[in-house]
Amino acid sequence: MSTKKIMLKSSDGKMFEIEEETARQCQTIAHMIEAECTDNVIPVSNVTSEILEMVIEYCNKHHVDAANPCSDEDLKKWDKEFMEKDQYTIFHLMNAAYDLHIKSLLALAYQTVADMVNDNKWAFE
Amino acid sequence: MASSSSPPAAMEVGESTNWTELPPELTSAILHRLGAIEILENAQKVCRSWRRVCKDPSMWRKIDMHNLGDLDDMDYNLEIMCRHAVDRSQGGLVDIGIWYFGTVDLLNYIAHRSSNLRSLRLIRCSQITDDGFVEAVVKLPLEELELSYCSFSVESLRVVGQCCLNMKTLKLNKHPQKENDDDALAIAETMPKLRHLQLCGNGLSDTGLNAILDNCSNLEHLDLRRCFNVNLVGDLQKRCFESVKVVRHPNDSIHDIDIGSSEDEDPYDFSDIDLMSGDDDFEGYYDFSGASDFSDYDQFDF
Repeated sequence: MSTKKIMLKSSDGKMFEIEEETARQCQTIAHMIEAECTDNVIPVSNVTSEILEMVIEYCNKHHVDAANPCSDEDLKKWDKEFMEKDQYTIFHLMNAAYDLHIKSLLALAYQTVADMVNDNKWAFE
Repeated sequence: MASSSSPPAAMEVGESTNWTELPPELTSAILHRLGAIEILENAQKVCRSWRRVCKDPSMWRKIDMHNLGDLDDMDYNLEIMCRHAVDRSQGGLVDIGIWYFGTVDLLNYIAHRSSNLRSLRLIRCSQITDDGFVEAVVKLPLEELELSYCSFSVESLRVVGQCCLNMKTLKLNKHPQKENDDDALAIAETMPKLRHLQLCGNGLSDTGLNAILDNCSNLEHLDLRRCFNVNLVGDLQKRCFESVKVVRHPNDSIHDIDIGSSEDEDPYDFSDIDLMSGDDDFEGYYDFSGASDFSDYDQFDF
C-alpha cells in the first residue's frame, strides 16, 4: 500500500523524505499540511540536517500502527538509548522538538536533561 | 545507541552549548521535573539564565524536599535550604513536601510565610511534636494533608480536621497497625468533605470504615492497602463500591506508594533514585552547610 510522502528541507538545504502520517507528529508540519500551504516540500528553517535526521528517526519509531508494532516497554527502552547523546545534540533536539511542536520528544528531552542535572552528569558553564 | 545517524565530529568533541539561549519556558519545564534540592544544589549552577529562572517565585509554588533520609552524609543543611526555598516563593507557596527532617520551628516558618498553602506532606518527620504540628497547621487553609510514617496523635488529627474545614485529601500511611478505630472515627467526625483518603497500614476495622462511609459522602478514592483489620466482603464491600468510585483493597500491591526506604523498619523494598550530589568545583558556591542565621539569604542570590 503506497502512503503519501512529503519532503522536509533542513536549514542547510538537505532534503528528507518522510511519510505524511509520520510527519503529522510534528504539529507545526501537520498545520501546514492541513492549511495546504505546501507544495510537498516543507522548509524546516531552524533545524540542521544532522538534527532533522534524528527527529525523523524518532518520528518513524514513534509512528506505531499495525504495520509498525512496538510495545510501550520497547519504545521506552528505545527512547532511553536514543537520548544517550551529548549536551550539544540534546540541546538542539529540544529546540527542534519545540519549534516543530513534537510533544513527546520535547517531554523526553526535558526529562533527559532533568535526569542529567539530578545525577550531576552535567558540564557546568 | 539506537540512533542510526552518527553525530557529527563537532558534537563528539562536545561542541559548546549555550543553554542561556534556551527559551525560558523550556528551562522552566525542565526545572519543574526536579526537586527543590536538585534545583538549589545543581540546576541553578548551569548558567546565569537558569539561575534567573530558578529565582522566579513561580518556580517555588510547589516545593518538594524529597531525599533519602541519609542526613548525616549530606554536605548541606536541609532545614536552611527549605527556608530559602520558602523565601523564594514570596508567599506564593501552595504545596510543600518534607521528607525525614523538619522541626516545629521550620513548620512555623512555613506557616507564617505561606498563607496560600493548600497541600502539606510530611513523610517520616519524627522531630515534629504534636503541639508544634497543630500550632502551625491551624494557621493554614489546607485542602490536602499527608502524614506518612509520622507519629502524630489522633487528637492532632481531630484538631486539624476541625480547623481545616475544606480538607479534601488526607494520606495517613503507617506500618500495619493493630486494630484501632481512633483515626477513622476522628476522620469521620471532622472531615466530611474528603474526596481522597489513603489509610495504608491503618488499624481501622469494619466499624471505622462504616463511620467514614457514613460521614464522608463526597469520597471518590479510598485506599485501604495493608489495612488488614478490615473485612472487605459482603455488604461492606458492596457499600464501598456503591459509594466510592475507586477502592484499593488491603491486599492490593503497594509498589506505587513512595514512602522512602528504611529497611530496618519496613519489610518492603522501595528503591529510590539517588538524588544526593556534591560538586567540588562549586564548594561554597551555595552554602547550606549549617549556618544558623536564617534571616538573611542575600549571600545565596546572584
